Amino acid sequence: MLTVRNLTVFRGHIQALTDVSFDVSTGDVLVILGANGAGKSTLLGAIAGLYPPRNGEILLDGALLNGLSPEAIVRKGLCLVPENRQLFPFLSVRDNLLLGAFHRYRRNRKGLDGDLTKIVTLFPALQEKLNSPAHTLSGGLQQMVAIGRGLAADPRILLMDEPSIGLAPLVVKEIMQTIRRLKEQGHTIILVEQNARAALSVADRALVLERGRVTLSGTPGELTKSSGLFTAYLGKHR
Amino acid sequence: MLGSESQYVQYLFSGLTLGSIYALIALALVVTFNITGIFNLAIGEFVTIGALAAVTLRDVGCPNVLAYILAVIVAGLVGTLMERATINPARKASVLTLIIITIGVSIALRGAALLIWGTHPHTLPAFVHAAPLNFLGAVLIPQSLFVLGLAVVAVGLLFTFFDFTFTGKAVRAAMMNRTAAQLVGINPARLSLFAFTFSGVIAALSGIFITPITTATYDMGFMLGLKGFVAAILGGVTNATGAIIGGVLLGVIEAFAAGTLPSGLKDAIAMIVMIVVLLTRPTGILGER
Ligand SMILES: Nc1ncnc2c1ncn2[C@@H]1O[C@H](COP(=O)(O)OP(=O)(O)O)[C@@H](O)[C@H]1O
Ligand SMILES: [Mg+2]
Repeated sequence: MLTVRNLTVFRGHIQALTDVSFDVSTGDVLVILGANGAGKSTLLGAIAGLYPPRNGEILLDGALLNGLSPEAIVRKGLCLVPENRQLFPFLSVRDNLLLGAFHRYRRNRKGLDGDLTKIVTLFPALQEKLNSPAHTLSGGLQQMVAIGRGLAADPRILLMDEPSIGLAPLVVKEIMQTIRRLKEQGHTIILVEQNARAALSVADRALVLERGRVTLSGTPGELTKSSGLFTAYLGKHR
Repeated sequence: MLGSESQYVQYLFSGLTLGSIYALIALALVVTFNITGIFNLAIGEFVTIGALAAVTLRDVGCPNVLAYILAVIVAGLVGTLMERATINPARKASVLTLIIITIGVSIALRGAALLIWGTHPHTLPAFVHAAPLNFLGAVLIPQSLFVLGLAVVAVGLLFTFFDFTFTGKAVRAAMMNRTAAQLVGINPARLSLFAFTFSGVIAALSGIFITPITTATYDMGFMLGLKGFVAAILGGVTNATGAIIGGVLLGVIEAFAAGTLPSGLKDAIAMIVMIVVLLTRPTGILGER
C-alpha cells in the first residue's frame, strides 16, 4: 500500500535519513524503533509532507507523494499524529477532534457527529471533557485527543510519533491497547516508539533506524532472535 | 492650561474615537501576524486606499453607500493582490525578508496614492447631518458614534466568526499551531490570503469612517498604521483582545497627553508608549510571559 524507496532527507545541513526503504501492506502495523536522534520523526514527517525529501520516492498505491504539501497528503489518506501531541491548546476537545476532519468537512458535514461518537467510544474518558480547552487535560488525555484527531481524518494509514512518551505506565498500557484495538478494526498504522517491547507486541513488522539508516527489519520474531545488537537495544529500553 | 472635568470628558471622547480606529488596525495586524508570522506594515496604506477610493467613487457619481462598499471591496482586492503577488511567491523566505517586502509594498502604494490623489486633503461628508451632542459639558460629534459603532460591530462579528463557525475555528487553530493545522488539512496559503484580504477590508472601513473627522490624504495611513502597530505591541502582538484594548488605551493616552502637553508631542507619544512597554513589559499588557 505504502512504498518508501531510497529516501534521503536533510534537516537543515544534517542528513537525517539515508537511503531508507520499506513497504507497508494494508492492515499491517509497522513499528519503527531507534534511539533519540535516529531520524524516526524525520521519517514520519517526510511521509506526511513536512520535510521534502532530497532523494527517493514515497508511493501510496503507486502514486507519488513526494513534493505534496502536508494538507494535500492528509487528503490522500495519510495522517500524522505528531510528536508531543501538538493540539490546538485553547480550543475545546470537541473542536480539536472535529478539526481533525477538516479536509473532508465540506463534503461531509453531517457525518462528523457520527465520527465524534466513534472516537468517544474508543476513548470514553474524553466524553466529559469535550467542552474543556485541550490544554487543561492531563498528558494521557491529551494524547487520546491527538490520536482521536488523527482518526477523525479517516486516514488510510495512521502515522503515530511516540504516542506513549512522557506518560505514566498505566496510561502507556491504555494507549497500546487502543492501538491494538485499531489494528483489530483493520487500520493500517506506522508507529514510532522508544518503548520497544510494548511496540513489538502490536507489530506485524518492525524496522530499526540508526543514524538515519535502516539497520534491521523484519517481523518482531525475526528481529528479537536475529541480532545481538538488537537484544542490547531492547535491554536498554526495557 | 488646567483641564476642567468637561475637558477630560472631551479628551476621553476623542481618545475613544481614534482609539477605535487604532484597535481595528491592530486587530487586523494581530490576525495577520498569528496566521502568517509577519507584520503587514502596508496596512496603513489600505486605510488610505479605502478612504480615497471612496472619495473618487463619490466624485464620479456613486451614491454614498455604494461608493463606500465599492471602496471596501477595492481595498480588500488590493490586500488579495498584494498577498498573491508579493507574499505568496516569497513564502519560503525569512520573516524579516517578508516584513521588508510589506514595507516595500507600503512605499509603492503610498507613491501610487500620491500620483492618483495628489498632496491636498480630501474629505467625505459626515454620515448624518445632526447637531453635536452635549455630554457633561463636552461635545460629541455624531460621526464619532459611527466610529465607535463600527469598532463594536466589527469586533462582535469577528469574535462570532472565530468562536461559532467551523471556518473561524480553523483559522484560530492555525493561529495556535500552524504545523498541526497543516496536518489536519488546513491550507496556510489560503489563510494568508484571507488575512491580507481581511486587513484590506477592515482598514478601508476604518479609513472611510474616520475621514469625515480627520480628512484624508495620500499619506494618512502612515501614522495610522504605525499607531495600530504600537497598539498591537501594547496588547501583546498575538492577542486579539489585547490588540483592541491596546488600541483604545493608546487613543485615550494620546488624547490626554495631547491636551495637556505641548502639541508637537502628539505623535511622539505613541512611540514613547511603545518604548516604555517594550522595556517594562515586552509581552504587552495581555501577552503571556
Ligand atoms: N529542526 C531541526 N533542524 C535541524 N536538524 C534537526 C531538527 N530536528 C531534528 N534534527 C536532526 O535530525 C536528526 C533526526 O532527528 P529526529 O528525526 O527528530 O530523530 P528521532 O525522532 O529519531 O529522535 C537528528 O540528528 C537531529 O539532530
Ligand atoms: Mg522523534
